[in-house]
Amino acid sequence: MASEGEDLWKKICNGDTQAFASLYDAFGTAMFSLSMQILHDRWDAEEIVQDTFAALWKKPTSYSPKKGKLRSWLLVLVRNRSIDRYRSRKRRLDTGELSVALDTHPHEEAADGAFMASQEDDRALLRQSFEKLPESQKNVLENSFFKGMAHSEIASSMNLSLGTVKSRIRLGLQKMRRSLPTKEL
Amino acid sequence: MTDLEQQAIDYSLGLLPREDSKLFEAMMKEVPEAQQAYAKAQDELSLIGLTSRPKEPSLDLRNRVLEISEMPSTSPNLDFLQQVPPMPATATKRYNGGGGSVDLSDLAKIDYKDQVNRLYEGLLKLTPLVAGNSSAADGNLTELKSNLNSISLVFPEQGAFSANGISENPQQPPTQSLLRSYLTSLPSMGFFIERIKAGKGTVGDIRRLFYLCRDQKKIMRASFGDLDAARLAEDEELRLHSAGLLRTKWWGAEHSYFNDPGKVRCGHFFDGPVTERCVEFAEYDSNLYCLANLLAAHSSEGQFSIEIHKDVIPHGVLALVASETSETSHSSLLKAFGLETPPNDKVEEVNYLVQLVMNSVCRAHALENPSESLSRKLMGCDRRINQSYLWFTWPEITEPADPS
Repeated sequence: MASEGEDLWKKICNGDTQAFASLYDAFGTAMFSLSMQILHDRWDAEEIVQDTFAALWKKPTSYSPKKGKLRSWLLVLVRNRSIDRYRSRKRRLDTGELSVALDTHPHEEAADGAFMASQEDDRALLRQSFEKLPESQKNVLENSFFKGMAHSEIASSMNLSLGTVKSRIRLGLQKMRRSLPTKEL
Repeated sequence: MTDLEQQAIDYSLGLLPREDSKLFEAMMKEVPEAQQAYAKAQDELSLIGLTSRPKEPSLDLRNRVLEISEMPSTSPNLDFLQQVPPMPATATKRYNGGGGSVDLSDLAKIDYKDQVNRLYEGLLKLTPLVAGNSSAADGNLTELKSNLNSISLVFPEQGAFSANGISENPQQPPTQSLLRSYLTSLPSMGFFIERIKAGKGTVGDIRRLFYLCRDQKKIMRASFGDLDAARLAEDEELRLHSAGLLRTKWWGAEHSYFNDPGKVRCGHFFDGPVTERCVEFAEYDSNLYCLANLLAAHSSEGQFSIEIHKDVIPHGVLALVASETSETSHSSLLKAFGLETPPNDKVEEVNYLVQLVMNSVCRAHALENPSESLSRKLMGCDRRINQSYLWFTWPEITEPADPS
């Protein structure tokens, strides 16, 4: 049976603007939160989300259900675009204006407290599962997924072998999958 | 876990070398197991993405995203541009921008030099207060408002240049640099700052202010070579700027020329690079601001559209700003362009806006005389039914320059 995302995608393929709005309402916050986690910059994160939705509307067939769930595909797309933006900013660090954006996140914890409280859903359970992962797996996953580090970079910075990095990522992902609530997210 | 699954994870994370990525993509088309491994990797990785701390996107973002689906699927009828001849082939080397740059010491009046310096310093102080990681970006405008009063940002009043006159010759490069610094993105900045000071600012206004502030600094650095030489050197490095950057910045934006605000709607933006360097992009931006400023004051619906086409004029990129206007308003635009009646002796600010674009287009196409920009229809003003169209053309990028 097709999930909500796939149903919306089919309608978007036919130019249904209401379905496009519903898709944003269903996944927009998760996409924005992910981009913010990587970039710590609201304007950059908004650009990433806006451009991702624009690309989907312009060419909806760039996705197909064979590629997995629409939400999964969108989130990985946002992650990869955010990592690209992060690397591009890093290259221009010496302009001075960018170092602030990369290094300090003064409002990260406090600003959305009320919003976080309203998000007591399955995503909160996922966050708990992630927090419960052994530090060794969690650190490798964070460096790989949120910081875009290559396996070899992680191995070097954490003094691990390449094989250990890969196996920790695999184990971490397996544990996360097993922690999925019975109800589909 | 199989090798295929490991490959799928690495591919999804963008970690496979280019050749291996192509092989994996080919395999996904032929081998169902590869496709399944890819789908599984996407699902598992997205779970990590879902552990991100929840952050609430602004309502402004939702509005902009939904506008994407409301964009007209058809482009305007641009038949009036059919008569535009092919781009002149006078340039032996592609224009890199910054051709109108002067030194601050070239400004004859010392007042102007100090003003430009103070303005730029104020912009540097303002930037972190409106950046994407500022408290203002999170909706807390208190710090920004209290700082706005202490930052020295002096905005010109509308008509200041035409009323007082400019002692130097308006066509001289130093005066052109001064006018470019004061009449392009700055008037809209002033509008938003006043709104924030009055307690009516929104998060969307802060975002717009950030982009305006960034553009204004680049335009000033491209205008005065010794204003901030270190950052200018950075601006001069090879870095392609796509039309998409313009679309993102202008999409759903409110723009104001002094007190004439207009809502921007974005139409067609081709996929591809427009300029090769920041310093060239600053000049391109400056031209676009000039056209937006000219039209903002004349839109009868309070909105105008921006489009960037690559396939309309051979070998050129077309920037088009359009709006519904009254016949009187269109007549005023034609006068500003010097197309209806000869310009009056007294030069108005709107004439300066046109002159700035004329001179820039002249440099970009290596023309002998700025007036050729208009006579060759490399920029212009036209009307179809009840729409006024303002445009300028820019040399296309065929093969990006060699960074060395």
